[in-house]
Amino acid sequence: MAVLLMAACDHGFEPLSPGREALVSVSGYLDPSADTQWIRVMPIRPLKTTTPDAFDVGVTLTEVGSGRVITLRDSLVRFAEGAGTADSTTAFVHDFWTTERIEPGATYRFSATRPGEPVADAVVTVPERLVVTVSLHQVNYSGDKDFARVSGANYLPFWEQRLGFTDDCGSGVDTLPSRPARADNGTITLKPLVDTVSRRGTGQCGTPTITRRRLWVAASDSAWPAPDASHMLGLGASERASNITNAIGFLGALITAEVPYSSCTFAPQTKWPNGTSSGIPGPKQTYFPEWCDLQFDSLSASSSGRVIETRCGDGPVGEATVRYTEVDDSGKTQLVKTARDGTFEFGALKPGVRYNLYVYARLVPVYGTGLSINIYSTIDDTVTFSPGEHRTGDLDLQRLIACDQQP
Amino acid sequence: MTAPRLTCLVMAALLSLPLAARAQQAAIQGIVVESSRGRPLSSVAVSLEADGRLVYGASTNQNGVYRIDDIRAGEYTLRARLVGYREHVQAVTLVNDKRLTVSFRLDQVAAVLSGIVVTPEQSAAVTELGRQVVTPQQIRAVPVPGGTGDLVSYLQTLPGVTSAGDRGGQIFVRGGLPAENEVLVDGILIYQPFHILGFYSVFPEDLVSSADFYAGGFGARYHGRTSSVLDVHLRDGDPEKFHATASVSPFVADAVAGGPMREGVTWLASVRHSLIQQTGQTLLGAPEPISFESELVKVASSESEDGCSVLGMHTADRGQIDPRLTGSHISWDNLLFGLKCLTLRENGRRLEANWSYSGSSSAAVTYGASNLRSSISRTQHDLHVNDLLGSIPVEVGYELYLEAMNYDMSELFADQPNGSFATVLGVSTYGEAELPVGRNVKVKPGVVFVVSPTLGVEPRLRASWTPFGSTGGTLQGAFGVYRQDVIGISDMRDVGSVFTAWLTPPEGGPLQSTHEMLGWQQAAGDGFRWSLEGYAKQLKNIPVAVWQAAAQFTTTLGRADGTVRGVDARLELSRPHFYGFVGYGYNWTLYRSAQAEFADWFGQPVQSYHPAQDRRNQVNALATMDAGAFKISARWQFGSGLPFTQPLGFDESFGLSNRLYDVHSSLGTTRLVLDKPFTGRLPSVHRLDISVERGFDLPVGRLAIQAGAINAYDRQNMFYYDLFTGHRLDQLPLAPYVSLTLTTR
Repeated sequence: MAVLLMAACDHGFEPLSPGREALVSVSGYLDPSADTQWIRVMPIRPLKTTTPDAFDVGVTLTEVGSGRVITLRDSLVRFAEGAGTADSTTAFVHDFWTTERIEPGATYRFSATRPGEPVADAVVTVPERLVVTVSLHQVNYSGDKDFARVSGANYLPFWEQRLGFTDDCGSGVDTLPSRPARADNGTITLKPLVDTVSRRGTGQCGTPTITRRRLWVAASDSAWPAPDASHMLGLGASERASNITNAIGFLGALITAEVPYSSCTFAPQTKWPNGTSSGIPGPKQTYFPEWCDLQFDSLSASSSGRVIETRCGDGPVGEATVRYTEVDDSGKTQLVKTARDGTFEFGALKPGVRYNLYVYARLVPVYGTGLSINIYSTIDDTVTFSPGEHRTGDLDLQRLIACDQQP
Repeated sequence: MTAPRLTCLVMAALLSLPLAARAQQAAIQGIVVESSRGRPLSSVAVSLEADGRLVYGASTNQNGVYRIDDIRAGEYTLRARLVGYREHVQAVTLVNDKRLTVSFRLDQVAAVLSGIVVTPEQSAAVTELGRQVVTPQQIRAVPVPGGTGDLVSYLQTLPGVTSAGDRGGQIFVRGGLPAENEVLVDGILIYQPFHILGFYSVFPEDLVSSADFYAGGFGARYHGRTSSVLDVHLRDGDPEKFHATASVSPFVADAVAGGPMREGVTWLASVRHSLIQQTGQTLLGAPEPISFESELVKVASSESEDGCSVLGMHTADRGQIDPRLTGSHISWDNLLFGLKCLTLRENGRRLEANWSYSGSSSAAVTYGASNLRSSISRTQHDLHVNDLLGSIPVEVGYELYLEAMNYDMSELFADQPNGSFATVLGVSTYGEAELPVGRNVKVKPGVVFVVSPTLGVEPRLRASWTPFGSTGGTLQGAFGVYRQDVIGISDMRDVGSVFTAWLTPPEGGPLQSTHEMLGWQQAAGDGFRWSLEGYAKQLKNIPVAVWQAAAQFTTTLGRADGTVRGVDARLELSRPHFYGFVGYGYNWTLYRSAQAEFADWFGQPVQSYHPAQDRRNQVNALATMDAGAFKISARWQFGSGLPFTQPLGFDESFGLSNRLYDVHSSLGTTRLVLDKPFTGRLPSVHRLDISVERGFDLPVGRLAIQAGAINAYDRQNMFYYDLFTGHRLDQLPLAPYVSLTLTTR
């Protein structure tokens, strides 16, 4: 009994796990397209509240291979939560940053070093180059058969379609987020791409017209937290679900790409038939390929701008057609209609290929005649792009009728 | 050698003992039942006397069956004794090669519960393996802050019984969960019989005739629960005159009254209501926003051979487990009706038929946000037949029930649909027999056939070996397979979480448990007795709350398998003016659960952990004595700390799985990150409760004044720790009280 009584005289209660001191919390990702890299590094604290105390930790990124060391600088950031309410609180966090360039394809070792504590470190690799191919179905063009393929990275934690549209209420952008995807045989397939939009929350704006199609992707070479593991990670990490040793949290590295894709069609193609019973080839047959592919990568050329009218001061020409057609047998054509502000964009133009650029405005109905006429001139030109070139500028259509004459 | 293998070997050895070939002389057997209710009485001392001297003796088993073999033919006086009942005396004539069957009833003596009247026959150390017969006298021996004792306070003194603290109304038996305990009141299932304040249940001492408590290894009659059985037999009203008891204390007030209604018919009524909500601030220095009540009415008829009783009961519990959390509260209700009919024939055949309805509903609001509710009702008919096939006592029966469940706990378990409704039709039958194997060995095989809701067979086996005769010790073993088709779900991440929703297992089949037990019981002379029991259980399909890395209220429902091992030991001393015991319970409960987040965080999808009810060591000591006109009782209890999931601490997360946040422009979501499940342990708890009582004879009856204190040395026993706020909620501090109990003559 005496032993039990002694056992009963226990010591103070310590609710926190003794493993806490050896850990830090890390959150962030490296993004070569960003001008500043931010990584949150914080102690695991016993209380919910934060304090503006200094955090004695050194944070570096070392480029594996070159040995280049990037030292991140500490910044104490203050957040006011619930300002103006009775429950308002102030939180202080340590965000470490650098403006040093992050190289695509490079591998970086992250280290957070505290005196007397184990180093928290992680190794992350930035994907080097993404190739995005959008395949548009030639028969059921507006259906759900369109898809895209991404190669050059193992994981695609985020991708979304961003469809610009106009309707009776004006213009807008419909963002269609999709679930993460993982590479299979080096390629990530995204499907279906949708080609319908809606203006959420209203129902009186008429049928929208899609004026711009963009596909945004963020790709990583390493596993990214799975969305169903709602508290950060689904990494299969050995301890405490982190890709950082001696830390909880996540450090990623990714590259992003936002590719505009327009319509894509082929001119009618011809081919020899498979054969005849006499063995004599018959006449060529006409056909259309089932898919028209638009391929984007770092060498792709792009073109954007506005269609305008300057001579009479009409300004932007909406619903004008801008068309790039490859000058070869394929007749592969990309085509967009300008938005109300006259803007257009192309992102999958092949360098070194001769294109016929053809621009024309929509026909204008003549009141009382039942006829439509073209009141603007057209642009018919041949262009060639260099690798990675982005050509931007206004395309000026001239009015074919007097400036003071109303169409 | 593993415990299951050892148990099997012992069982096999017992079964392989040869049937002793013996020259049959005379023999006598029979069933002893309670006079009014026909309930089988166990531990009745049955003796045969010749010329005023005891020459043969035996005691009845749990079915009330006694048997004495190898008797020299002749004329004897049969005498049967049991404390609380009038002695039965009868002349019998025994002849060679004949087995005489003599069954009879014992009349209950009117309740006079003062004084120490616990006898060795009724003590907890000398009953069957895993089974305790609890009497009102034993209940009264445990200090409780009220005028009368309470069954749940006594149960908490048993080595294998654990409670999370002095509130919440839940008990854990040998590693099982509260919803795995079957509690019967006069044969009616009651879902939540324990009140929110842990000293009290719906079974105050004045209502209880006796209770059979099976900590495991229970026979075939009981099925549908996997951990334990508490079979409470209520007493009837006094058949001769009106009799009432009323008591009041700062914690509770209750009254019990009963008497004859007409010839052969009695009534009993009881009301109990808590007062702690009104007195807590004054008595304890802090508000205790909890309340409970219960009401009961019982009418019983009793003819010479047959009898029926009707029972109605209602209970209600309300309150806040943590008084600080004004936005949180919990409530539950029980409503029961039942008709029980019994008949006993001279040839020893006993029939018991029950028709009952039991409903329960509960609701909880947690942190002012999450609304949980559950209701369940069960309409049941069951029939039980006890008979003697030759000299072999057998019991057969069946059970039919319809159980309807309705619950909404989607805010707790996101994978459970809102407003779910389900019905279950239960059909089962069972049989059990007690076979003598040789002179000192008894084997009791049984089996349960469950036809619906899920087909299953549940074998049961008990065996006992008394190698040194009836005065020596007894080695007993038990084995059984138990299944549970309707399970109770609570937030098992926190042992203090008391809301329970009833439903059918979402997947994986019924909850299943296999019990293996082995024990020795021994009288050591001079009033000393001791018992030692070892047990092992294998659990399958235990519902568990899925572990999550960041602490949050909503989770999903998962499954675990488990292993339980333990030892219960108890030493008793019973003297004319003293009764006391020391009990020690060792329990080791381990769950194994496969969860996706385990793989994410720890690299292995299967983690093993000791769940929240794994109280490793527990000690209970009780002493009660007569000191002149005073009765003094003291109880000390010690429990090692319960497991809990330790947090690592706070940080901010960004949900990078859902959106590519810029960590610099957003604070993120503050979260409490948890370590592996249940790696920490709360501090151990211990407490001393004392009481002194004296009675005074008044013209109207007897007045008993009791003064006592709960937690006499004011130990700060932690009940609950809020990981978010760092606030700890302790169990009751030093709580002195005075109670008055008036009993009519």
